[in-house]
Amino acid sequence: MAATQTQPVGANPGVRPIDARPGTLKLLLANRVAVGAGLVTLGFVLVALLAPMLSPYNPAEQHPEAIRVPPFWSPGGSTRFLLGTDGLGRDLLSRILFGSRVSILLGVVVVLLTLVVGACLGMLAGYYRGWVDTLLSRVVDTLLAFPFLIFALAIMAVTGPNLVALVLALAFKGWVDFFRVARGDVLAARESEYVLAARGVGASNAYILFGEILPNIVPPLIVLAALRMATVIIAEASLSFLGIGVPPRIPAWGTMVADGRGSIATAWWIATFPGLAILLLVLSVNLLGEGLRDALDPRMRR
Amino acid sequence: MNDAPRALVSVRALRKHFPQRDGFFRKTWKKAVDGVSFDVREGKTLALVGESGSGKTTVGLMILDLLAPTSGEILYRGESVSGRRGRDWLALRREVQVVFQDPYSSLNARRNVGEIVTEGMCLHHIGDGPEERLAMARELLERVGMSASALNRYPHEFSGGQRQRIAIARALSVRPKFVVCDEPTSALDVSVQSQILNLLRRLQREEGLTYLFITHNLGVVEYLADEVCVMERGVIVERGSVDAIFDAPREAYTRRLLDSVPSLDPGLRKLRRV
Repeated sequence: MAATQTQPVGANPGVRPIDARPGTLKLLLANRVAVGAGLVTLGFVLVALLAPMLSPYNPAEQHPEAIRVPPFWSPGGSTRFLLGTDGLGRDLLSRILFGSRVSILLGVVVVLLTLVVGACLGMLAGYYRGWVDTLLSRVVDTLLAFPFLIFALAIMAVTGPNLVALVLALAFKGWVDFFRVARGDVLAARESEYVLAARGVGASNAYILFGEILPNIVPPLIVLAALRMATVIIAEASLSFLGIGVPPRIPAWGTMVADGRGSIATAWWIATFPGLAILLLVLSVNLLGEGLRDALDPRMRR
Repeated sequence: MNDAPRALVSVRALRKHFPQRDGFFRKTWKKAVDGVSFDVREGKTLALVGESGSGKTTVGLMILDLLAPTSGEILYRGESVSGRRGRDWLALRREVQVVFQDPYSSLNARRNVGEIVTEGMCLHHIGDGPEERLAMARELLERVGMSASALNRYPHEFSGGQRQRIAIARALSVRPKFVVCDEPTSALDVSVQSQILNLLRRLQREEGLTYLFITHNLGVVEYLADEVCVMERGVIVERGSVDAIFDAPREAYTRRLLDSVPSLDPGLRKLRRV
C-alpha cells in the first residue's frame, strides 16, 4: 500500500508473462490436419493453374478407338490413359485436371462476391440500425425461407447453362451468411467501450466502422469464407450433375459424374474419379476452414 | 459559492428515460436519470456516487455527448453540449475526455498502443506528422508510468493496471480540460487501484484537470474528490463537500454506502490525511 509511487510498469515484465499467446499462424501450423488440408488445397489450386501443362491430352479430344478404357492397373487398361477414358473416348485424367479450374474459379468468384456484398450490407445494418437494418433483415429472412435448389433450377432453366447465370444463382443466397455474421459482430462492437472512446476523441462514423470495428470482425468472416467455399463447390457440382450448371463444353466434375452414372455397373471409373476429386477438394477446404476457425478463436488461446 | 472557481460543466434538470416494452403493446419508461442538476467547478473533482443502476454512468455518457438526454441541459463553459455539429462538435471532443471502467474492452485489441494513443492527435491535428505524434505518445506513456517501448505492443500484452494507464494516456493525448472517469479503478486489483488513483491525482495537479469521478466506492471518493453527489434511482439524494458527507451523512442510503466500503479504505483514509 505504501509503494504507491508510479514506476514504469511496462518495463517490469516480472508481474505477468508478457505475450504468452502464440500467434494465429503458429497455432494453425501446429494443427497437423489443417496443414495437410492446406497443402492439398494448394495442390488443387496449382493443378487448376497448370492444367494445360500437366494434362496428357486435350480434355475435349475424343479417341474413338479407345472407348471406356479402364484405368491402367485394371485388366484391359494401359498407361496410355492413366485413369481410363469415358464413353466418348476422352482421357479422364485430363478432364479431371481441367475440371478443377471451373470448380475453384466459381468457388473463389462466388465467395468473394458474397463476402463483399454480405459483409458491407451487414456492417451498415448493424451499425446504423433503424430502417436500413429492418429492411435488410426482412429481406434476409425471406431469402432464408427460400429453397436454394428450386431458385437455382428456375434461373438456370430460364437462361440455360451459362457461367454468369450460375454465379448469380450461387451468390443469390450465399451473401446471407456473411450478412448475419457481419451484422451480429458489428452490433456487439458498436456498444463496446473502445468504440465509445473513439467517438469520444472525435472519430467519424466511417472511421469507426472501417478503422475500429472492421479489423475486429475480419477473422470470423475469413473462417466463414473458407467454409462457404466448400459449400459453393458442392452446389456447383450438384447443379452440373443435374445438367443445369456448367455448360457441357467446359469439363466439370459434376457433369462428369452425371455422364458416368449410366454406366456405373460396367465402367465404374468414369463416375468414381471425378466424384473422388469433389470429395477430396471439399474435404480439404472444409478442414482448412475449421483449422482457421480454431486458430482464430480466442477460446483456443491460453 | 461566489468566491469559488466558476463552473466548467453545469448540468440542469437532466433526464434520461429509456423506452421499455411492457407486454405486447404497452410501452413504459425506465427513468434512468430523472432530474439531476450539479456544477463541476474548474480544477476540482466532483464525485458522483451510487449503487449500480442508480444512473450515474448514464449521466456521464450524456455529458460526453455519447447519449442524447430526454430533457434538460448540459453546459460546457456556458454552452450547450448536445446538438453540436462539425467544428463545434470536434472542439468539444478535444476538451472533454473519458476513462472507462473496463480497460479490457476500452482498448481495441487489433490496434497497437501507438495507434491507440495517437488516434486523437491525428483527428485534432495535434503534432506535426506521425513522427512527432509518436514522440509525443512516448512522452505521454512515460508520464503515466509506462515504458516507451509499449508503443509497438498490443493491449493483450499488458495487465489491467497497465491497460488503464494506456487508456489514461489516450484520454490525455488531446490535452483535455475535463475528464469523466467512469469507475476507472473498479475493474482493477486492489493493489493496483491506489496506483491508478495516485496517477489521476498527480495528473490533475500537473494539468489543472477537472474530473467527474463516477464510482460506487466511497473510499475512492474520500481520497480524490472535493465534492460529492450521491445518486439513488436516478435522482441526487444528498450532496456536499467530502468532509460533510463522510462526517455527517444525512441520508440512510449514504450511510449504507459508507458502511459498504471495504477494509482497504482505512489505508486510503490515512493516505489522504497525511
